Amino acid sequence: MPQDLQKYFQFSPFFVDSASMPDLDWERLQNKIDQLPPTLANLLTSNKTSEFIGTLAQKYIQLSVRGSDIARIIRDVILSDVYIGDMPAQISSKLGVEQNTAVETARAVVSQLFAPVIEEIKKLQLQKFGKLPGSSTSQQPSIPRPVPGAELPETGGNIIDLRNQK
Amino acid sequence: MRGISTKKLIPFLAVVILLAVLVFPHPAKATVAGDIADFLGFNFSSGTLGAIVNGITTLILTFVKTAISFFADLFDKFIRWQTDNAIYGVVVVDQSWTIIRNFVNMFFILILIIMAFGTIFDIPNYGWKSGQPPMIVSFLISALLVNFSLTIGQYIIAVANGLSGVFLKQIVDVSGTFAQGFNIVGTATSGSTDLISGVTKIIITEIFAIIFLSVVMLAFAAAAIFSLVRIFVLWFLLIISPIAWLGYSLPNLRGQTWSEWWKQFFCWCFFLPYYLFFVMFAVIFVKNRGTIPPIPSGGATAGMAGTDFLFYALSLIFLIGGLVIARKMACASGTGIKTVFGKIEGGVRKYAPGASYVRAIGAGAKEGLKAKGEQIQEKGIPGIIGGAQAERLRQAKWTERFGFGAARGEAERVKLAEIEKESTKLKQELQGKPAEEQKDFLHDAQSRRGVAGEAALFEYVKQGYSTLDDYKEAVKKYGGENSALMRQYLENIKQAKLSDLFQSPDQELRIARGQVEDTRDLINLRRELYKDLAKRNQISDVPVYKEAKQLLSSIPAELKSFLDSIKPEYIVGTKEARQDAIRDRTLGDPDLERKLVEFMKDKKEINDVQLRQEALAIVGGKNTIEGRNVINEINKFNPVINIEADLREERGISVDQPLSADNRKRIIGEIADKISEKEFAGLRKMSGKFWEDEKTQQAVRQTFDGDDIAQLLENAPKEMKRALKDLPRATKPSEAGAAPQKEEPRIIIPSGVTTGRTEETQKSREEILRELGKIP
Repeated sequence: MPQDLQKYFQFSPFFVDSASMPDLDWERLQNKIDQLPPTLANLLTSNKTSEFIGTLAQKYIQLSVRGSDIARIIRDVILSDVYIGDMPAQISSKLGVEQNTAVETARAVVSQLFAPVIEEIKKLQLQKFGKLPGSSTSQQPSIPRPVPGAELPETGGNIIDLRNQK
Repeated sequence: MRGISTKKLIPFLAVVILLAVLVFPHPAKATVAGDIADFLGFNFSSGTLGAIVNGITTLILTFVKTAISFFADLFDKFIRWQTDNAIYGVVVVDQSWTIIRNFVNMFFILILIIMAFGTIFDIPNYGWKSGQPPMIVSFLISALLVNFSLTIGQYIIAVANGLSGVFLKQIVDVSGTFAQGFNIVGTATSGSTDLISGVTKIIITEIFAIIFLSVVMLAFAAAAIFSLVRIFVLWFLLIISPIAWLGYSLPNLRGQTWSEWWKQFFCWCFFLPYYLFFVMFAVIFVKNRGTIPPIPSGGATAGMAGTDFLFYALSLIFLIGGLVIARKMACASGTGIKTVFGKIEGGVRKYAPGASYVRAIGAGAKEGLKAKGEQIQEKGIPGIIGGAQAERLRQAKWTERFGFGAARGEAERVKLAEIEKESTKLKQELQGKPAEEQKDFLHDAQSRRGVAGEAALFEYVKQGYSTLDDYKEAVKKYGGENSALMRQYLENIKQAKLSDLFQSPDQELRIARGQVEDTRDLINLRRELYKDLAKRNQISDVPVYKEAKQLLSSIPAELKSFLDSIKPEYIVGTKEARQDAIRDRTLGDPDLERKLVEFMKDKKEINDVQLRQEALAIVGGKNTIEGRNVINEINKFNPVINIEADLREERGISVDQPLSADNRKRIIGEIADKISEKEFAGLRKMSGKFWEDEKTQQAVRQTFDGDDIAQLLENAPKEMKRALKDLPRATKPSEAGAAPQKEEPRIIIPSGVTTGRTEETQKSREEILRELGKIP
């Protein structure tokens, strides 16, 4: 079912700051987007990403999680502006949620949203930061373990697998 | 005797006996013969045998010498007779000529009528202006000069005879001189008494004496017969000369009458002086025989008259060789005299074995002589005669001089043809030379006389050795750049490499633009330079292009060649500059604009509606072939441009006017249609500028949902993503204060996607899809 256009813009990592932050350095952002591999660029604009973030926001509504903030963090991780290992801390600090919730949210993002493109994200992260979470060397990246989508109770496991996306 | 068979012994003895029998006539020979006979056991008295042999050889030699004297006398008399008084005042010739002339004069009226009909009905070769010279001119010339044809012919014969007279003065008494000169009796030396010496003497003195004198006799016989025939043939030719002049006025008969008559006439006329020239040398030789120092006798030459051999050989070369060369010099191939003399020559060779000896003497030089003979025939002898080549050039010059406008340039054309022939020969010479010597060879060959030198110059140029100074000199030499020779010269430069003429591309360009003082007037060179520069993509700005075009405009073919070579991307270097040039029409040159559109179409540079409109205007509209090509190419990479352009055209909206929301909506409707049909690829080809437009974004917001936009952005070009980044901020039409739109009937598209579409829009969509080839 098509998502409301406003929701799409609100939860899309690509459009998230377009309406609300007119002073954003879009040129810098756009240059970085232009440099991305097509799969990651498509992930930013994908409607499935918006839907995923929307679902995540619904799940954690009681925790005051805001979809736009998650969209920003996801965008920043994809663009390698934020280290992927810092994602739980970023979620925790920016959204004001406790550490466990932040880690759980980060795991959900990595295991479900990033899963189809994880290798490309790892590559970019490694290039930018020279390391990956859970590894003392850059050769063995350790990232939050993927969690099956079924663990998101409110969606009933109805998480769209982007690997099967056309 | 062991080792010698009977079969070999018998012929040997027979030869020895024969030689013994044929022993020479003077006492010494008789003695030797007697000795041999005695040695072999024959019972002959040596005096008797000698007398018999002597008698036989003396008889033969006397006969031959008498014949030589007879024919030489005959020859002498014939030529003196015809050079003295056999030309003028020959009644039979005069009367016969008068009859023929009167008869021929009747035909001139007929020719006038033929010419009149030829002109009226435009019959090829028979109009009054047709042919070279024009038929009316040749008619007037022939009608006038036919009355002087006898006098003209007689005068030419007199000239030939006068020339003959020069040589005849040196030949006072032909028969006496030769009879005396070829008296070879007593040439053997005495004193040899051995067998080998005796055989040698017999062979050398008797047999060869007979052979030599026979050849001389045949040569004189041929000359005498010819000199007799010559005068009758010339009389005949004089009598029929009015027919030849009549033929001159009829282009189709000119070759068989006029040309053929002159060929025969010159041939028979001038053979005599040429031949007498060689006879004169022979006479000088014979007369001065006594002054030639004798070759020492003894050893191998024991008993031989070595001096006599030399003397005979050279005399024969002059007599027989002169006959051949004179024929070649006087007559072109295929003439009657060639046929006659071919037979005479054949006869001499067949019946005079000595002719073989003469050929054997010059065997090494035979081919060389033959080639030299042909060369003399073609090129003549410097300072004496001109040869066939010179004659062709002379004729062309006269044709040009009297041929009025029609024959202008004839001399140069003929000269070029001659140069071409010489070039072929020159190339053969060149083939045998190493590459490093060819330049010097061609340079030196330029000093050759006449056309051969010029052929060397042209070949030198063709090989790419010439310089700009050479070109300037050639312009002076050949009377300006527009002469046919100079044009060929320039062609030859082009065949090599035109740019080699210059030190740098910059110099080349400055000369082409006329910025160098002493080459400014070399228009043809500058034209070629511009064409060459264009081919090498060296025309890199609009002013140079325009100058080139102006210079080449007087010759359409050259202009076309130049324009075909031009690559507009080198003249207008960047995409932006090209788009500005088309959009603003700043080039001011339709040809360049057209080429630019052609280039931009292929490079997907016609990427907005205004550019499309200007491009179509340049190529003559969208219904021309070029116009359709432009539209088709745009369809391949951004069909929306065509959709928008058609909409603007349909509704009379100029390209600089913004589209109303309604119109935008219609375009977006088309786009939405594509979305519904999963034609995202086509949509992604829309220009960034289109997507940047606020109204476009408003329409998108009104029409698209998030899923559509996401699909649209998937793998979209950077420009499109950049343009659509502001989509969330785009004001909705209602927010901008636009009048609330009437609810339009919504059409369900087969895929299920709903879009705001009117019936009118649906109709337009079908048209567009049809144009795009989506539906039949």
